[in-house]
Formats: sequence, structure tokens, C-alpha cells
Amino acid sequence: MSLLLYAITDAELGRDPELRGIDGAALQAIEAGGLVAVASGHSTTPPLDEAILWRFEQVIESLMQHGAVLPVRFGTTMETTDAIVAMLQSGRPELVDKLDAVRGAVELSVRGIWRDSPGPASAGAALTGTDYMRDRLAPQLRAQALAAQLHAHLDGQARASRHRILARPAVPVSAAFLVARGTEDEFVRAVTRLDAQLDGADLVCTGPWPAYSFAGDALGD
Amino acid sequence: MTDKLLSGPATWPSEGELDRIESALTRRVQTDPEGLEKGLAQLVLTVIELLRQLMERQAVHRMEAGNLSADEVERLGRTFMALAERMEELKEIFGLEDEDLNLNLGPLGDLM
Repeated sequence: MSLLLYAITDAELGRDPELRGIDGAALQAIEAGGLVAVASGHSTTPPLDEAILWRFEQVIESLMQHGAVLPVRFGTTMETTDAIVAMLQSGRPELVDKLDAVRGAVELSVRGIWRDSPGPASAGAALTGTDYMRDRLAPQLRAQALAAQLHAHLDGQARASRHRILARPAVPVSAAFLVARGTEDEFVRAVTRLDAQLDGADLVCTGPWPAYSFAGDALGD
Repeated sequence: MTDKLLSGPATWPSEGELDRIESALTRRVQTDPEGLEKGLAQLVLTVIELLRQLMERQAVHRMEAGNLSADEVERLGRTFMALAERMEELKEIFGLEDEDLNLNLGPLGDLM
């Protein structure tokens, strides 16, 4: 039996008997030095499927109602409660800093999607090696320009932000913004305004999410 | 998932996006006797494609940073073009599609 970790928090967790973990497993709150790791026991690591990922998400979102939460990467397991206690004790200073950074905030995701997926600039032509390399560089430059626009318009509404370029060819930018609770609507309006100004891409804004992109790996990183 | 949509196209997530997620969650290398050869080819070609794309991205970064001469850009481009063509031939031989070789590389995004 190993313990699947969901999140680490410093909040007082109320008793919610209705809240169960993956596969209906009971949730355990393992405390050390004012920090609490929430976990559930499983004989094997749960398989990766959509329903299980949503259950994992729901547990973390429930914990967020009580206070600041650092979500743990799905699939992270530890063998014993003693190991979890040791992890909380040894990582305490860093975990406290990370909790302070996300306290009172949620993550909103903004993803750019090309309206038309342009083919290579030199499609149909006899490619030289230089053409080939330029074809690979061009989407990166376009994506970087879009990322710069996102940050210029939205960073002022967020505590922190980060992005990655071309996670997939059709998705030039996947960005995450750490937004103070209560200001989500204002942020979404800013996204909508920017979306209306863009020629070649649509923006999709989703959330609120636990601060996945700002917790690092709660157990290391 | 649509409960989480705050703004964006009403058609999001598209069917293609849902298929991609489903494929990413359930994809397995075939190891049954009938599919063993194809499964092994899939595994080996995935690793080769990973290395090919990592090298290509590194070269593009170096070109963007101005660290390559025009001759080096041309030579690298021809090499990567030939590798890409050879990979297409191998995929055809083993009946594999791009999605069969896909890997989620975390912060680097998807391989394909």
C-alpha cells in the first residue's frame, strides 16, 4: 500500500466526510510542523485516465476552499506516513515560501491557438537546407511575438506569469497567470479585449485552477 | 472541461483536441505477439524521433542566436531534411502515423 499525494497546505482542514480520493479512497491529512500533506492509500498507482485526473483535481480544489494549496504532480507516491512527515520537515522553509507565493490567488490559463495553421513558407518549392531551417524558425518567432503581446497586456493583472512556446504546432503559446482571487473577471475581460485585437490567433482562457504552474514540484523542483 | 472555459471559441475544446487528450492518456506500445514487430518499431522510432527533434530544435536555437555561419545553416538544414524524409519512409514501412510516435515532453511540449 502506497500513499498517493494530492497537495500540501498550511490551512486548517475541516472534516468533510463526503470528500473522497481517487477510487473512493479515504483521504488522510498527514501533519508536520504546521504543514499538512493530503494523501490516499492505494495498492497500485491509479491508472491515468480522464475521470481519475478530474477526481484528483476536485480534491485539490476542495482543499483550496480552506486556504493556500500547493498541488503535487499527479502520480507522486510515498511509501509511509513517516516518509511524508520527513519530507514536510526537511522541505519546510521552501514549502512555506511557495505557499506564501500562491496564497489568495488562483491560476488562470491562457492558450493561443492559430486560426489558420500556416504551412511552411517555402511549401512546394525545392527546399535548400537554409529554407528548411528558416521554416522551422519562423513559427517560433511568430509564437514569441504572441507571447510578448500576452505578457504586455496581461502581466499587469497578475502576480506572476509564465509561458511556454509551441507546446504543439497549433498552439503557439500556453501561458499561466497567477491572479488574485476576486480579480478573475477583470483578468478575463483583459483577455477578451486582447483576443479582439489579434489577427492570426484565438485566445482560450480557462480556470480557475490550483497553482500548478507556480507550485513548482511541491516536493522538490 | 467546458466548466473551466472563461473565454474563447465556443467550439473549444475541439474534437481533435479531445482525441489528442484521449490518445495521450491511453496510448500504449503494442506487445501482443501479432503486434510485437510494429510495437518495437514504434518504440525505437519514437526514441529516434525524440533525438532528431531535440537536435533540430537545438540547431534552430543556435541559428536564431546567430551562432552558425551560413554554410553551417545550409549543411545542418540538408541533414535534418534528409533525416525527416527517412523518418517518413520508416513510418510508412511500419504503418505508423505521427501520433503513434508522440510523447509528452512536459515543459518542452509534445514531440509531434
